[in-house]
Amino acid sequence: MKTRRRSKRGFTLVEAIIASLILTVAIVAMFQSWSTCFAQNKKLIEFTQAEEIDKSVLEIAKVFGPMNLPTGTYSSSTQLGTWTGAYIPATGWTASATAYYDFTGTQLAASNSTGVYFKATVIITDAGVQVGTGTTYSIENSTLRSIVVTTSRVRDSSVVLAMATNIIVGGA
Amino acid sequence: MKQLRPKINRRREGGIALVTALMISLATAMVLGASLAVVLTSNSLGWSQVRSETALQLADAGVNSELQYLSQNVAQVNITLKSSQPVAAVGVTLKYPGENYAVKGRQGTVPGFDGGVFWVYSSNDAAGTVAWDGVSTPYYITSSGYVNKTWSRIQVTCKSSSLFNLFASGSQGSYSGDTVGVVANPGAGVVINGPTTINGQVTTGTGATVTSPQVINANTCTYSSGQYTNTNVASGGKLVTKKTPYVYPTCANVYKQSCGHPEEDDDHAWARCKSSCNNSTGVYTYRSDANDDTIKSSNCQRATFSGNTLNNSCWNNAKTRPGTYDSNWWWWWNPTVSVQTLIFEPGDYYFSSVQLAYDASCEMVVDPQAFASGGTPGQVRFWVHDLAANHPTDDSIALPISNTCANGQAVDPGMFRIYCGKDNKECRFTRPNSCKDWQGNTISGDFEFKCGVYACTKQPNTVVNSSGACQQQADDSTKHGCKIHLYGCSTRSKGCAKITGSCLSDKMIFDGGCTLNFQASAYCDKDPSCGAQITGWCRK
Repeated sequence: MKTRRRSKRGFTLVEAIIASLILTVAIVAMFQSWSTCFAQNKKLIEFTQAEEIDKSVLEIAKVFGPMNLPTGTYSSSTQLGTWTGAYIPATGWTASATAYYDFTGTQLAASNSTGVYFKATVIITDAGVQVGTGTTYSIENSTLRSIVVTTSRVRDSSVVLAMATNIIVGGA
Repeated sequence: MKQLRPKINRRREGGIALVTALMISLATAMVLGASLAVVLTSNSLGWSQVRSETALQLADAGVNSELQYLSQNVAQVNITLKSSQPVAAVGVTLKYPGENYAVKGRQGTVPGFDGGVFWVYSSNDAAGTVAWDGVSTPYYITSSGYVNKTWSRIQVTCKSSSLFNLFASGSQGSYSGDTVGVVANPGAGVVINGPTTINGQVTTGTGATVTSPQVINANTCTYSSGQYTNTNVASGGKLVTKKTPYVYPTCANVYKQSCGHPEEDDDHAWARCKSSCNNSTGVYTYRSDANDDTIKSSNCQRATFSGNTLNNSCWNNAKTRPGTYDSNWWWWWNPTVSVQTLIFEPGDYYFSSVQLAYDASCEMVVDPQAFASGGTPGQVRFWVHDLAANHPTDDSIALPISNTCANGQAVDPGMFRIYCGKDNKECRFTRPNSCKDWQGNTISGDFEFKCGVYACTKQPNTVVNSSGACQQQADDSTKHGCKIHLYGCSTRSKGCAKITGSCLSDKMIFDGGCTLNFQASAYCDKDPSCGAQITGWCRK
């Protein structure tokens, strides 16, 4: 009877150890999943903020309209005009500039501003333009203006999200 | 005293900790798993939403790309080349969610962006089952954006926009053996108030001046010199170049599109135009018992008018405009004439010859408001063409034309169009050097024609291919093109030949003082199309 009782208690200890192990494995697995999930979530938030930045710049471009967006330099070899820069509220469409944002998508003054996280650049490619003197050109009704907005992380310059669209005055 | 212990069945206790631990683990796993699933689903939806927004922007890019495609193919009469077709391209297998066929349309993307593509097409119907026929309005542009397995689709409703609304003057002629698109004869003073384009070269006589605030030298692929220069640019204006030529449809093709028979050849189209025109039904005059000279149905009646020649003799049977002849005056004291009036109601008129010399007794009124007939307002269109070989005559208008307009509004030149379709001939608008009105007073000032004039019979035979090189285009016919000729007084101060609206032709010729005042019009349903105006938008 004693032996039987002892073996019963021992079995309970084994049970407890196994149960603890199972619980530990389960909890570790869960936390790992959560960790991955949090990482994904952070990436998504970053991605979503980049989307907001890209989208807002594209919408601003549409509000300006094809005739009021800046023109850049015409290349006779590609027959395309190209402008590179950024939209900065204080200066408007600013050539060769970069716009900076914090993690919430608030635009900042400079690359060294506190909390800087994103940077965004705009490339406008114009097809079917009227060529002026030198490398200047102007837009006509059938000029297709392609706008690509690219948002990157400031710390490693890796691209988070690019968004693009075309706009046109209409008619030939 | 022996303490009594409750009797426990130890056999039943066996494994209770394990079972409890397993149950707790299971419960925890279920709770955490469910939370995880929710978070993952939410995450997935978030990613999908971002991709969807990117796809939406791409779909928008597709619509704009189609608008450019339409504007670049305005001269096409073949509808399959006029717009992107609602059929799946060869090799495309991707299907839009909920559809059991490959996504339809022309594939494209935004230059410099490699994150996705769009497919776009134009159709008569919202469902996209019938390709746009180049005429129907409204019509639909449907664009599907695709980014990393995520779709967005938008559809816009469109109506055509008018070629007349682009430039004050456009001369597209640039042919082998005839490179000149604009001729300004000696002494001419030409003022063009609006954008001016040219595919060919300019010949300017001694003392002639042509100025415009915006000059576009097109077709520079062919011409590096001989086009407009900065001397042709008005103060504060600009001169730009365009490598490719502007290409407009011929008059015959414009008619085919407007009458809904793009498949016909030119001769059949013109024969149709002649047989179905409004010459015998649309011309009105005053009634003999008209109360006053107000153009209204109670004062007007249908005129005796037939045939396809428009000359001063057509006024022989027209009635007198009330108040224009005063028989109380002795004729030698103040010799007035009776003004006979012809009023052209909305519709299409076909004339094989237009010869209108200045005559104070002939009054020509274009009545797009249909005041005379009491009918429905609409555009008045003159189609000038001769089915006879080689079109024997040029055409000439030296008679002022007045236009009716809606109450309280200015005249809309978009309501009157003159299409000159005689190859190698000209349509001349003249302001005679000296002329008197019906009361015998010398007329001063300009002869202003408020309309759009279109005279294209041949397309430029140069194009730029995809690699940027010049090459010959299909229209290498023996045609010569058609001319619009403005002929004003010897100096601008005496009076100009003036067109308010726009002139699109193969060649422009200017003599004496001439003015072109560009005025775009909201009405353009029957005009040659230069693309589309978006009137509606929806996400599908």
